[in-house]
Amino acid sequence: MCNELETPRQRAGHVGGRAFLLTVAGLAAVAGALGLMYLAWVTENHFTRSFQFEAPVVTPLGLVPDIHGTIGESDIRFSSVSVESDDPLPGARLAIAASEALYFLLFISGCAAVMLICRRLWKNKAFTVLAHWSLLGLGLLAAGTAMLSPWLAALSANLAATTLGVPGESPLVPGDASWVVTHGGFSFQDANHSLLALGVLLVLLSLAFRSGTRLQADAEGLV
Amino acid sequence: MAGPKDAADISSGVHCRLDEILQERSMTLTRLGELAGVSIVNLSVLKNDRAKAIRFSTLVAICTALECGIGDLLVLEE
Repeated sequence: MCNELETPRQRAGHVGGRAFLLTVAGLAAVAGALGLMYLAWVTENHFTRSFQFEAPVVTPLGLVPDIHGTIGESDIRFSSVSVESDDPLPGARLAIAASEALYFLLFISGCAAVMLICRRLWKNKAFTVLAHWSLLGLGLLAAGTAMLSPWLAALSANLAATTLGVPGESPLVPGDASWVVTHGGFSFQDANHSLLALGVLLVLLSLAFRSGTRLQADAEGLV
Repeated sequence: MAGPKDAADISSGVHCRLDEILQERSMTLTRLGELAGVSIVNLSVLKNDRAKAIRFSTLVAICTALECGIGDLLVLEE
């Protein structure tokens, strides 16, 4: 890739680009291997461990659910509750709105990018600077959404529970009281990893588009 | 296909004598395209000095069809 005619800045750019590519490829290899192992482990669990599923339950207000299966053996527990309130809860509402808005924004930006690229393909000139920046922006937005949206949703629940005074920890005196578990901190584990991988892929694709723009310019007027 | 900086503003410095050679041989551009296997569009680009680069394979095909040398076809602009 490098040649003696390159300026030092171009050479530095190439070295930086190679380092970035190596890092990303290395991380992808590790993540892929871990993903494969996790897939095998999860699949094994499905067939060897007890089967669990979640379903909405409807009960009279104030009544603890008491449901029993009548065929075979089963142990039924309820692990989540739905909290509803008409209070303003500005912080919580803002956080959940932002969390969902990110996905909508990503979808709309994706549609705009598709239209832009289709228009360029129609003109037989796919590789343009605008297409490069569109893909780059889309990739960064996807990666940002993947990490921020789950955190904002968790933050929203945490803010609402705190504002409404819903117990968030075990009582000082152990008894029959229940509490909900929420957290407002950022955790990479909660991120949307598929969307994050897609975002990284779009960023790499935008870099390919940038190279394509130069190649397309070089090919203009070539017979 | 080209942007604002068209061929009129950017000269390659090379003049293609395709027009002159075709007249000498009483050959049409279409016939040359058939013989050389080059599209009329590309031949027209060459003829009007709008080409910025030419593949060796194209150059050889045209020169073979016209039975001329490369130096007969391409000359430096004065």
